[in-house]
Amino acid sequence: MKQEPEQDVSQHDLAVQLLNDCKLASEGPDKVDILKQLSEILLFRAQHLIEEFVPEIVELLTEPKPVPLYVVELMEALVKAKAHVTVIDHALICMQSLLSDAIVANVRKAAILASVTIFKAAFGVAAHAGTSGSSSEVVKMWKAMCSLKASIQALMTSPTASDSVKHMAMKFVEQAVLMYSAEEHPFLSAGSSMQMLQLVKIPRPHPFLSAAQVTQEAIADFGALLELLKPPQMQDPKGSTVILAMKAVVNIFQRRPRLLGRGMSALLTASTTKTVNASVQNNLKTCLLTMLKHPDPAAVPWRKKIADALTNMGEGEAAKTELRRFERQARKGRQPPGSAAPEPDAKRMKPDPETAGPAGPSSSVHATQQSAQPAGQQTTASAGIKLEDPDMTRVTTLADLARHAGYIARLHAQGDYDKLDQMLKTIPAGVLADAVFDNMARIPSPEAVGAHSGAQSSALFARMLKQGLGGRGPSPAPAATPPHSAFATPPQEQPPAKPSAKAQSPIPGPPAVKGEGQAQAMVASGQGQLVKRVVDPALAQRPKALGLEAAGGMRQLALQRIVQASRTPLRDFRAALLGRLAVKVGEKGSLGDDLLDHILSDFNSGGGYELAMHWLFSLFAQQIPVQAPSSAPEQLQQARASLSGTFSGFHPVLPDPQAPVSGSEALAGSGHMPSQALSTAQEPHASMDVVASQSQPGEHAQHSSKAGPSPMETDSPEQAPRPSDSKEAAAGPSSQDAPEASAHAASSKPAGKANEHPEVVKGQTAEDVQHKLEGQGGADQAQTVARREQGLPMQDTLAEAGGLEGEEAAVSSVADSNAPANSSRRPNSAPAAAERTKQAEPLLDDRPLDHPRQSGSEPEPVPRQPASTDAAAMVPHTGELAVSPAGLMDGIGDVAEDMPEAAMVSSEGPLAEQRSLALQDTLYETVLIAILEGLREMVPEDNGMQDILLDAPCLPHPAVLNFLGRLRKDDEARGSQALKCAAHIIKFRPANRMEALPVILDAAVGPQPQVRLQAILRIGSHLLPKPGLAPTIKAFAASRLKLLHQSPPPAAADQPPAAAELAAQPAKPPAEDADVTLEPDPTPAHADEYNPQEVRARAEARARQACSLYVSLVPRTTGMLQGLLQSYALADPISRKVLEQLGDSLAVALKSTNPELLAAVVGHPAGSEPLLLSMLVKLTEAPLKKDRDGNQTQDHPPPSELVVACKDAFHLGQDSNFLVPVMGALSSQEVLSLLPHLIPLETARLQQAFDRLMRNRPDRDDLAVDMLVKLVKLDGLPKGFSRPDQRECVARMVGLSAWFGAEHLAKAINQLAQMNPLPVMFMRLLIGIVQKRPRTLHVFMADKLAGLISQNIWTQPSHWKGWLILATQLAPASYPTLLQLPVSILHGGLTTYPGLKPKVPELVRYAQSAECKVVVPSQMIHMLDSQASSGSAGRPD
Amino acid sequence: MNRLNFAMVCASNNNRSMEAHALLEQNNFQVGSFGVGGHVKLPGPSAKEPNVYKFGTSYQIMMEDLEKKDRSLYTRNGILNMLRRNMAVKLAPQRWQDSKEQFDVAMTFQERVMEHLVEDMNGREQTSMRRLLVVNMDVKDNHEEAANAAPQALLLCQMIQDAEDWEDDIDEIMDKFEAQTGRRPLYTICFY
Repeated sequence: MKQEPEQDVSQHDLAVQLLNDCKLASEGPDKVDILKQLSEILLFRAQHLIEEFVPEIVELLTEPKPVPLYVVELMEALVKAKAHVTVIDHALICMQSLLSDAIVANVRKAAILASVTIFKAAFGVAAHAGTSGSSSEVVKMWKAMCSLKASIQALMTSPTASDSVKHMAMKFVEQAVLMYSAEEHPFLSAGSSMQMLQLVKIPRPHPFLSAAQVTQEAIADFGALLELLKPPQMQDPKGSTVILAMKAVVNIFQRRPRLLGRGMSALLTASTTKTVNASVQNNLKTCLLTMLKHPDPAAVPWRKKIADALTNMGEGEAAKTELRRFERQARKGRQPPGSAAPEPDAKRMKPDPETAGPAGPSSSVHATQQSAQPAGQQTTASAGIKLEDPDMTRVTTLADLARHAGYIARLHAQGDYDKLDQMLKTIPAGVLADAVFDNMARIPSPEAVGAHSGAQSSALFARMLKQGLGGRGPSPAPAATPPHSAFATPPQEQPPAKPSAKAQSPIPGPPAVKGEGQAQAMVASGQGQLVKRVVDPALAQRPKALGLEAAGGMRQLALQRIVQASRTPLRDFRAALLGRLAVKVGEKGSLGDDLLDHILSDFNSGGGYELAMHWLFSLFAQQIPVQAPSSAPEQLQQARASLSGTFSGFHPVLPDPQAPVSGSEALAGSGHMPSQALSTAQEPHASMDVVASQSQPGEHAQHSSKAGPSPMETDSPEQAPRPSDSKEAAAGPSSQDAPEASAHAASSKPAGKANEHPEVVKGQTAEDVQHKLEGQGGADQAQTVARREQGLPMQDTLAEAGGLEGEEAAVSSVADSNAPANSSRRPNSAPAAAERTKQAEPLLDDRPLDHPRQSGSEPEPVPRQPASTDAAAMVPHTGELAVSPAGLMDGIGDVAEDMPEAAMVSSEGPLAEQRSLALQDTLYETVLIAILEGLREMVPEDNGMQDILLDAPCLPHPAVLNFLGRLRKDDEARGSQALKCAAHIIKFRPANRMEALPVILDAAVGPQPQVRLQAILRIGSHLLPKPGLAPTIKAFAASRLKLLHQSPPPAAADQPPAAAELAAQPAKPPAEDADVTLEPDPTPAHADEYNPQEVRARAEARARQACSLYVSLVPRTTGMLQGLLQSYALADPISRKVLEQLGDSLAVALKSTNPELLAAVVGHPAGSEPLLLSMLVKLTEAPLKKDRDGNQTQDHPPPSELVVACKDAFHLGQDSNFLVPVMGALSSQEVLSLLPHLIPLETARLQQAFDRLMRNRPDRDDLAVDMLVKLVKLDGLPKGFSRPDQRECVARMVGLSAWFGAEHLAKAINQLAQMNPLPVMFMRLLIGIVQKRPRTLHVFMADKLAGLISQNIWTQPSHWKGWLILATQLAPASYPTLLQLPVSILHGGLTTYPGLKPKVPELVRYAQSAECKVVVPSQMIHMLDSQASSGSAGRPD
Repeated sequence: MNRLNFAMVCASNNNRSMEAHALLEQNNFQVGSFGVGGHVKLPGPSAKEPNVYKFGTSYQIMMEDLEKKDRSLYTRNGILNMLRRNMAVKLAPQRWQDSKEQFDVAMTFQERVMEHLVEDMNGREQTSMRRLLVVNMDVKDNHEEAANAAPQALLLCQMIQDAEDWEDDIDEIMDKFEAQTGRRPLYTICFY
């Protein structure tokens, strides 16, 4: 603002006058009023006077209160108005003075608050000093500023400072950190007091400032804030300081997410510190929730930990809600976790319209930089060539990467590490890993790297890449704008060097850095411009030739560093690096152990699984020699095809079919990936185009011949077998030259992929998907997509369990316990596995959830492709991936599922056997078993072991089988795990079926009930139907069943044998097959082993162990029932009992119309009747219902086939037991005719017979009467049946009150009483009724006795005694009847049946009493008196 | 001693905050009141049928509306009385998020309200570095609890007002308040 000279003079005079007045004023408030007038002039009318008056204003600090406070405000305003060195310098002096001298906290606070503004201005002036030339004033000012900052920072923890001062000091430090770590784009609106902070850039070169220095200061200040979150402060009951420290830290995190790695752990640690202050606790929760909601990718790795911390603090629900929200967003594809996310606090991000360009943040950056730079700098920047961002997802080789080295260099030079990070994430991890290992000699020292972390790591790596690649790739790098890179290591400026002569050379090998001190090189741009390449001193070391020991040491070091760099977001990259390292593992040294530890500790969450696969595939490729028979190219084609389908995430490449190759080369031979000649065998990210090219071997061979060996092999003492000379000649002169050759091959066909190799183009889509998946989360996703793309089914775990419904009921009842029906069907609740699964979710929201590694459940398998019997011709619908049973690897899970079982089983064996044998006692086997043993320590629910067994290239036996056997014997949980693994091997690796089958078979006869049940379920429902397995299973089950034939164990004895007897007993006779034994129960023998109950229980358990499998197989296999019956006939009593128990379940499973069962009924082995009858009875025990009258009804009467069979069995063997099950289906006439045959049945069986007969029969009342009558008047007794038997039978029938009620009995008695002569058993029936049914029908039967008097019953001697017995038993109801007898007859009766005599006195008293309604003659009384007087001697005989 | 600027904040700026606002105003405090919800919600015939108004709708209009709907119901449940009280304090409910005024102390009456307030403060651009003490006292949203809490809010505000510098004494103030009332408020500090 320009003022007129007159006005200037007047303003100046006025200002002088006001200043004098202020000094002369006596009261503080008056002084302040005057100062306000002065400030009006200086700020709004004559700013040019500020420099002149500012020293005078500073002097006013000595004035009384409240002048100093206003002086602070005024100084801040003056600095804002004119950010000149002089003004700032005086302001700084003023603030420093107040901070050190002021006693009043308000003044201190105001000073600190004003210092924020002053600090911004000072930083801006100091930063620009680099362009306008250094001056001593600026340096002095900056030093004063630094001193002030240090003073304020010291106040944060000063014991003398009040809390309010500390609060302001913390706020100042927070702002300082934000300023020093300024983003390159402003996120504040215009006019904001903080806006200037965001725009300060430190130009290069700068005389006294550097980005590194600023960065270090920011980190130090941030660290000071973090110190406040440590226990002493956290536990202080006064919490306001801690609360503000927390909020400051979180505020920094929100605005500078890259600092998350430095402080988040401190915040999390604070959450574990117990504090008595509820407000602190509450603020901590709020801060953690805020961080959990942070959308920046840098926050992604922390989310789980934050959620855990919140859960521990009782905010688990809120944490879960947030996590679910992220998952939902990821699923919807709006904002995948870890991907570019909207900046935090978007609403406050209001880029200055003048600086924000249309191209978004990137252009905003450049605009901002330009606006902050002097004109000369802007010219330099604008001279840069604008490059389009390359599509790094297309990078498949180091040669491709080299082509983009210029771009990488540009990003690095500009310090655009955010973009660099993003770009690195899009490069396939395998390529990055190759680059790292090809540049191992250039990797900075640990000390150099130790100062960096997080994003810095990728920056360092990028610089390393740039150094290694930049000189060789065609780099159209533009001139770089010297940036302000907040977190970059301070570069050292070096004079320009000449352009590299090897700009077009391909990649690896140590760089030809000329001169030890050459820390800067120049890269020739495509336009002939020179680009300054800044080289970190740590990277500028001269590469050394690596010896064997040095290489090993370096690898060890690399492993440690990679493993320790767990926070890096490039997890796939880490996995790829470790995979490369794994290849180098020898049998000596601890590298393998370290790797194994890392794999196991990080198996589920950190790519350990992928690493394990890398390792196994690499070792497999190295160790198994594969000779491709030149005479059988078809087989090789099949082998190649099988490789492509075996592990679709790991796409190995096959060799030229015309040349003998090693296993390593068989897996490593990509024409498009020369540097990955080995890596294709090692990593799961091999390109799909290679796989696609397999259908055209000629072209593939061409690529292979140009590929040459991997550069990795040049520094590897444990190289894979070299190709033959002829192949070497074709591949190139040496491995060192191979990269050049390969690059040449690549560069000679810049567009060849599309034009000359259509199959590659076809594969590109898959490759893209693959790379995309790799970039975002792991091989699993890629694998899944690849499988889907190939039309291959997913591996399903419980698909097999899905089919158990029909048999579960049967076989579960086979189990002797109430164990869960199928414990293997539990959901996969292992958190680690869930973590691994979660990684796949963002991109696989529509994937079928049936992969065992991706789903804990076991759904039904996806529909299969139509299978052809010609295995070699089995090509999925894509036409690109042929699959074959005779694959090079025997672990052909998916493929196997698509193949006809017969073809698979018949053709897979020899090759698999050969490979398995070849792998015995190799490092591959050692590593595989070591991994499995390590995984054994995990929870049994974890699927890791199963995944490894399914996806490993080969399962050498007997090592794997032994391992599973040991696992099975551990405990029930491990046993289930072993079963599951074995079942999946059988299902998905048909070549290993026969090796894995014994694990399940042994478990099916093992001593652990639950494991046995699971094994039986799996065998019955899934293994038995598979061709080729059924005979083995049947034979095994039969052999175990035969163990029942042995002599009964001592426990079978009813009495406990003496110890001496037991000792004297001969050893148990061996089984027919000496190898056939049962595993002993692992539970220790009970001390009281002679306790018969204990021993018997053990014997029963052993019998059950032996026969359960066989019994479970009977319903599924014809002919086995007869075997079972035969074994039953030969079995000992205890085993028989067990079999009968199991027979119930078996009967239910067989069903009553089973032809095998019907045949067995008719033609069963002798001795098997009890079991058979037990099954038939069980079958005919239909569930009962009650009809409207409350009667039980049977819904399903026995089927006619069963009735016929049972009748036939009865007729053939005259065994009426066979009639019992079908009694309900017999007509009344049949029943009455067969009644004599039923009489001999045992009581229980008879009960069963009548139960079935009477139930649900409409004429059951009549039938009951008829049966009673028929039985009583039965004359012709069956053979072997005596009269006492008949009496007993009548008594048993009378006792069946359920079916023979009083009414039935009365009717039967009436019918029988009218017969003349009376049936022989008539009186027996009546006596039986009295005995069996007390107080039933007594009066009725007394009347019947009276009726018999009229028939002169005493004339029938066979009935007369019965009559007397009955009269005796019916007394006193029979007294009137007795008194009706003639005197002589009664006298004779007393003689005939003396048992009546004891009743005589009572009879006399009755006759003489008034109750007696009968006219009793006096002779009767005399006779009875005389009998009574002499009757004392009478005793019933 | 500078007079502090207090803000009473609840969800709808009707019951709890207005009860405290009215009491503090009677005691010559410099006070305002706000709600943080999306709308002003007053109880309706049932829990699923609240009366919803926009912030800024005057209490007078609300009262007329409710009288028109069911005078006896809203008289019985005390809503009309509450609105009459509010009308005597200020014109209409105000929303915290829309307020540009700067306060020294914001007192909330529900933890969720405090979270909203703090979230809003965190989202605001920090320009003046003026501190805002946010104190939360959990109070149920009914007339009785609001009436009980208002004197306690007054007491706490008095303590804060009386402190020479609340930043130095905030923990002691909370301890003292807890000892007197048995209620332990939560607090945090934000910046404008």
